[in-house]
Amino acid sequence: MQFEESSILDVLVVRVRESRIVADIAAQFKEGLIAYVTSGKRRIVLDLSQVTFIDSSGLGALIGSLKAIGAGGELALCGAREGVISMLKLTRMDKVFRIFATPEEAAASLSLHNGANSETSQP
Amino acid sequence: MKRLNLEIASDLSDVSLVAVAVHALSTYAGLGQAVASLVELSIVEAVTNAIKHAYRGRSDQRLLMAISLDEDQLQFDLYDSGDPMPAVHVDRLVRGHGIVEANYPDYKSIPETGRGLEIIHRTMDKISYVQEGGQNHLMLAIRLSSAN
Repeated sequence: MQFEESSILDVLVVRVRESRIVADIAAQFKEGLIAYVTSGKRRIVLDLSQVTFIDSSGLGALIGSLKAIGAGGELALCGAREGVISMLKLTRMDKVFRIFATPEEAAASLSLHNGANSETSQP
Repeated sequence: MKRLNLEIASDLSDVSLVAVAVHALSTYAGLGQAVASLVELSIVEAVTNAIKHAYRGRSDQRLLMAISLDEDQLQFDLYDSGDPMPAVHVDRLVRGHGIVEANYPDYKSIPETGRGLEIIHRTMDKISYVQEGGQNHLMLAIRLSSAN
């Protein structure tokens, strides 16, 4: 599983370097994301701009990662392509995940340093 | 009617080959990119289910997908020789069973699994599942006139 990490403000941006998140790599994908959480990262933006396809197994891994972050943290998505957005809408998960166009927009929304957020106000 | 047969091993790493072919055929048939992506997703869910459940994860079996295209619809006939789908799952596939919905930031009640059949149900216009001649036969079709 290939991830590329960067930081914007106090937010970890993880770019997924895989084109398809499907059944044969979903468990590995989830383990990779949860490793960030267990290492203390609680505000994570997942950059899906290189991902062309996610199936229900990959979606399950995203949901599992969201649950792993839990209260006090956030997992947002950005850069999702049309096919991925269609899947999120069909499964109604577009109502569960916060979805942004760019990593910068997502990080600005998640950061505690943008003046609008506070630790206690996060889900 | 135009026809194409695809055969793959029951190996999850080969599913993407079918998926890419299905997406290309869907756009060739005139479906828009968004719908073509959902048809691709439905076929991936169906093939993955056959490998994981009918064949119980064995990678040394075979799956056949017969694709047919006419003016009105794009049809996929998937055949496997594994365990039949339980009746309750067939019912969920054909009739639909709904999706647990929630809104941000309420995600704790959202299950991580169990969406594949509903994805297929919501995407495809015609669905049938039968056992015939020792094979399981899943038929999925989408109309071309109303799908864009």
